[in-house]
Amino acid sequence: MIIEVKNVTKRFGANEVLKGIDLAIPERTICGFVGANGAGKTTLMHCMLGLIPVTTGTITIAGTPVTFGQTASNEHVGYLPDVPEFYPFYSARDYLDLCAVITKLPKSESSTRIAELLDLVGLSGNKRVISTYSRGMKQRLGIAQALLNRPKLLICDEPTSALDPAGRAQILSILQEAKKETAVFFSTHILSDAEQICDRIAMLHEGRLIFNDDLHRLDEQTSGEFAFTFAHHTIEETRARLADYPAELRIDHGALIARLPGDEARLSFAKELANRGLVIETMQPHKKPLEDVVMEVLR
Amino acid sequence: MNPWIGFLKKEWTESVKSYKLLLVAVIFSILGVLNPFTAKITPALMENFMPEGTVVNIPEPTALDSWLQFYSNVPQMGLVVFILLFSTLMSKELDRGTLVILLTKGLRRSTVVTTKWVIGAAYWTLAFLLAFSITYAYTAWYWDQSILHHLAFAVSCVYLFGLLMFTLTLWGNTVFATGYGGLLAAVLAVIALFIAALFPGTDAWNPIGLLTSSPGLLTGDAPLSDFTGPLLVSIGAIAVLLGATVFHFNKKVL
Repeated sequence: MIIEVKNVTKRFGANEVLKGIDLAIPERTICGFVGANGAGKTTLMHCMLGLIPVTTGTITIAGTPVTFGQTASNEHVGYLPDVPEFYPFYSARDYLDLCAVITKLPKSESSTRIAELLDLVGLSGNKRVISTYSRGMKQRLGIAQALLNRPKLLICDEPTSALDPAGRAQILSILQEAKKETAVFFSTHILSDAEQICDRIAMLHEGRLIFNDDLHRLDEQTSGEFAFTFAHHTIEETRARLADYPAELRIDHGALIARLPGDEARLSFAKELANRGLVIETMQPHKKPLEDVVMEVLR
Repeated sequence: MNPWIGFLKKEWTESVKSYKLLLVAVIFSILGVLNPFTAKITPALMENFMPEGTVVNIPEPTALDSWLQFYSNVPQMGLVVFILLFSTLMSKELDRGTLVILLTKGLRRSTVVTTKWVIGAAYWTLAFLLAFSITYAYTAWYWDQSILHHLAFAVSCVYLFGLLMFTLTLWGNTVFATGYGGLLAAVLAVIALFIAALFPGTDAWNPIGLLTSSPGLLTGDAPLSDFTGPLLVSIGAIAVLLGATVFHFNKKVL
C-alpha cells in the first residue's frame, strides 16, 4: 500500500474534523477523494503531508511514518495545493530549478527532467514570469513541480475546481498520464472528474470515511439496474403492462429502468417479458452518474 | 548546489526584484551624504534664522558633529526604514502560501529562517557600510578625523543594535505571522529597553546603551569596557531570538 491511514482523528479545539479515519491506497492507482466542502478532505491531506499534526492515529506513506513538521515521508510525495502559489518573479523553468535544488535532484538529471515535465504540462518554451500566468497554467506548473522528483504518490487538492472545461480536461489527462509512474490521490467535489479517471473512490462525509473501494464496487453496491427499450411498444405502455411485476421499475430518459439484483432476478424478468409479448430492442446496465450514487450512499 | 544556498539565492533574487536593493542603496547613500552635509550647513542655517542683529557664537563644526549626525540619522531614520522594508519577510510567504510546496519537497524549516536572517543581515551590513563609508569619506574631505576616538568600535555598536532589532522583527513576524507582528515586537522592545535604562545600574547590560552611550566613545569620555555588557547581551539576544524563531517556525501549523 502506498498510503496507510490508521484510526486518524483530528480536532481543532472542540471541533472534531476527522473521526477515526482508516484508509489504504494501493500503488499505481488513481484514487478520487470525494466529499462536500468542509468534509475534512484538505485537513486529511495536510496531515498526510505533515503540515498539521494528527490528534490520534498514524499515517504511513510508502512505509515511512508521517511526522509533523520535518517528515521523511515527503520524499515519496508530490503535492499540488488547491491554489498553488509560486514566486511571481520566476519563470516556470526557474521555479522548477529551485524545486530541483530543494529535492536534491542531481544536476545531470534535473535539466532533462524539467524539460520533460514542461513538455508534459504544455509549458515548454514559455519564458514569461509566473505573475502573468492564468489559473490553468499555474495548476499545470503545480503538477510539474509535484512530479519533479518522480514521487511514489501524487497528492492533489481540488486540482480542477476553479478551471474551465478545457482546463479541467487538460489536468485530468495529465493526472491519467502520471499514473504510469505514481499513485494519485486527488480530492474533488466535481464527481464527474473522479468518475472519468479514478480506479478507486474514497468518500468522506462529516469527518468519517463512508466508502473506500474500487469505483465499480460503488456502482455494484448501489446499482444492479438495467435500462431497457422495446420494439413495438412505447415505454409508457410497457410500464403499464408490467405494473403488477414485483420489481422496482421506473422510466428514465426514454428507457425502462429495472432494478434486478442478481442473475435469478434478471432471468425471471426476461421470461416475464417473453410471456407478456414484450420484445426487447436494447438492454444495458444502467450506470448512474456518480453524483446519484453518492447521494444514495449518503442517504 | 545545496538547498540552503538554493533558497538563499531565491531570497536574493526576490529582494532585488522587489526593489529592496535599490531602496536600501539609495536611502543609505543619502543618509551617508546627509551626515556631514547637515553638520556643515547647520551654523550657516542658524545664523540665517536668527533675528537680525543677534550676535551668535556658534563654534566651527568638526568631524565630531558629522559623526553625531550619523548617530542621529542612521539609527533613527535609516534603521526605521530598514525594519519597515524587512518586516514582512516571513509573514508575506505565510500569507501567500508560497512555502507550502517547498516545505513538502523537503525544504528544512530552519533553512527558511536562517536564509531570511542571513539575507536581512547582509542587507543591513551593506546599508551600514554604505552610510559609514560615504560619511567617512565626505567628513574626511572637510575635517580632520584624528580627533575622534574608537570610531570603528563606536559605529559597530550601532551596527550591532540594528542587527538585534532586525532579528527581533523577524522573530515577531514569524510568531505572529502578520506584517505588524514584527514591528510591534521591535517597538515594544525598544520602549522596554528605554524604560529599563531609567533604573540605575542597567547600563551595565542594556543594549540601548549601544545607541545612547556610544557617542561618548568618539570623544574619549566613555571607556571601551563600559560596552562589554551591552555587547555580550546583544550578541546573546540575537542568538537566542534566532533559535526561538527556528523553534516557533518548526511548531507552526501551515
